[in-house]
Amino acid sequence: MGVKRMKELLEKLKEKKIKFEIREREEGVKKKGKRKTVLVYTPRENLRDIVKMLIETSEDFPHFSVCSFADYGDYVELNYHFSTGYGKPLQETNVILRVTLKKDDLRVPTLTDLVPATIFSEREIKEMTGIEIENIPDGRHMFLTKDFPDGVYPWRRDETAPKETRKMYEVWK
Amino acid sequence: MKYEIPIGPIHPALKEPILLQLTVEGEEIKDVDVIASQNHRGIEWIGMNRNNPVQSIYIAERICGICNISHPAAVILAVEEAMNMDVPDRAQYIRVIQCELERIHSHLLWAGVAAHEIGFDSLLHYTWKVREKVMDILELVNGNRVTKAIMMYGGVRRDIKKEHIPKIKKMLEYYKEGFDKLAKFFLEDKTIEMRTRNVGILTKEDALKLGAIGPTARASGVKKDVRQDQPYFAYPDFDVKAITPDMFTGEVVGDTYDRIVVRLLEVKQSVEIIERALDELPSGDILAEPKLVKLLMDLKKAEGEGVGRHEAPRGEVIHYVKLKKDFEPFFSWKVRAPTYSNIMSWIPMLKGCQIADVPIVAASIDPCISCTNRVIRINNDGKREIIGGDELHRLSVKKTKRLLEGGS
Amino acid sequence: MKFTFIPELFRQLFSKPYTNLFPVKYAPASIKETLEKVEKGEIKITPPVEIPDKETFRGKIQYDREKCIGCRLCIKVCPAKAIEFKEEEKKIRIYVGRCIFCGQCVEICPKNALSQGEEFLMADTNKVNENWIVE
Repeated sequence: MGVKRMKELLEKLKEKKIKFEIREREEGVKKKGKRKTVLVYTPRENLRDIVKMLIETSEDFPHFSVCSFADYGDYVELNYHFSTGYGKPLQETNVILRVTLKKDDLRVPTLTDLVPATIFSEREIKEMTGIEIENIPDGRHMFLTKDFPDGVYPWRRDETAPKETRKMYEVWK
Repeated sequence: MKYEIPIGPIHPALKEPILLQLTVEGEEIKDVDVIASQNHRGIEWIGMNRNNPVQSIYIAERICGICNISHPAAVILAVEEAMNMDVPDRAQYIRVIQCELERIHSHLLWAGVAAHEIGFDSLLHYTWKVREKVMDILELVNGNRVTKAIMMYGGVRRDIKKEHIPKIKKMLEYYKEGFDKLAKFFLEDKTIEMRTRNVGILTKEDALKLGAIGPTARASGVKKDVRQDQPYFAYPDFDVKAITPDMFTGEVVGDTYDRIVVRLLEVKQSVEIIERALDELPSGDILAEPKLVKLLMDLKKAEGEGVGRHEAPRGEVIHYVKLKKDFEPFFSWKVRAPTYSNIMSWIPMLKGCQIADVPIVAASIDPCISCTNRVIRINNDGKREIIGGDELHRLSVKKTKRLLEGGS
Repeated sequence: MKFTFIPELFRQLFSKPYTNLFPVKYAPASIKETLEKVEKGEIKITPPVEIPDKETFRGKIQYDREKCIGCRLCIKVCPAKAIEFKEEEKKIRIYVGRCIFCGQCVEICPKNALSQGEEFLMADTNKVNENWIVE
């Protein structure tokens, strides 16, 4: 998204009173370029609206990369990594939509009807973290096997995390 | 009458385990389902629980044997952003050279595999012979052909020696001379054209919606290349332009042939980048923090998050890293390999194709399944007993010993 | 031309093989017998390709026991956990079978007790025999 388009998005966010943060990091040796990241603190109920805004303000279509996750004990953080404005030198901006969820209420709406590319990540999030994806069209396991036990979530840092197995380097000798 | 044909998990057409469930009517493919859960390694989990960040570079290197510069490149970019670390100029240039060397070898490897998938094995051997030149240079510069162990937080681990530069330049000359020949074999040959033209078409719209990346997206006309859009390392200096097939053929079809065009042109582009980088190589340090012990301490104290995006040969690889104070492993680590995004484009590509085209269409995105599958398999306490990796390992050692004793 | 690769194919017929014929020119009927003969000195094997640069090459790990002070830094950074600490002697033991040749331990060693040699032919059926344990 060009600079103009980016401003459009940020103004829309301000209108809706959604907090965001802009980060920049300089790259390059002789010629400097800036890596721009917009971190949007997205409330769960606004997630779909913000993705719609992102689609509206993008020239092509926002590229969806992946979902990442961090477990802080009593709450978790889910990040949707998007990028927009590709195709022109130095014009791309990373957009991270951060949804914070309480441990006792782990659910987010699906984005698959808006951005079809999210299906793999949503399936992955569902199996890895135990977050319920509302209205997900395909809820099968993505990377874990069909017979993987329920209630074990590899990315979590609480009692649902898998137990440490015997290490290969200990049984190796 | 509809039939279901499984291709995979272990199948000669796919070099790595993945399952394609095809629904066919006669020879024509009507529907495709991709089932990825065949190969689990739990790399992210190890990085988040067992390893310190320095060890995690090497486990990132082993996510994929071919992109063994790309994954460490992305993880160090993420950590450098999280720690707000500055990198010396010379190191940035060496990183660019290493990344482009990797692109040359990976694209040539892919070109050989593509030739093999359509049964053109003599071209496979020719391409891999050409590829040996860059492998020799990689061994000369890094001391190792495959896992180069060169990336480090805040720089690179080994410098490019003065006496190596003429040898690298000789290799670049070889590729410049050999490029036309290679292009003639791949792009003018009737056999390849017949098997790849209008096969496995991915439209621009599908590529955008399904989040395709790298050569797969560029072959469909999406001008998307991280080196151009959001340059990192020393890439801003080189003004990299995303390559689309219309530069060569004058039109964008988005088929398998176009993907060959894009990859071959990228080899040429990489040669040019390396040549410029060698000429303009600045002098100075190669590490921001040469004392590894201090670096480990700093990493432990650091707090922050970063996203590393690197244009790997197959497309954009993203690593997200979160560091927490007094917590030695990565607090959060998410790896997104290029194939993760590109697998989805198999579905529109394969629909309407014939069964015989599955190998070349599947190979045309340059899939790297081991990159994509990085999940653990655990021993569960419940009713079902899953045999873990160590037990399987023990059994296989036992079998090898038995065979040896049997003298067969 | 329609089939552009055909001239190259004929050229290939008359050119020298590109590969190094390691270990012997033709595949033997029994590898085990051939290796036994090599051990006795009856057959000579074609040597592998020369190491391009001995300084940068990363081969089998070498350990100087005298220089080692037992600081355990190498154990901390070893990504493959190939290094074990011997408590009573305050020295280390390296399992080469697990080593991934990254050279991180060589880099971190404060006393330069570790280095990487030129040996790289390490295929073996037993990963823990005395050749592949450095101590």
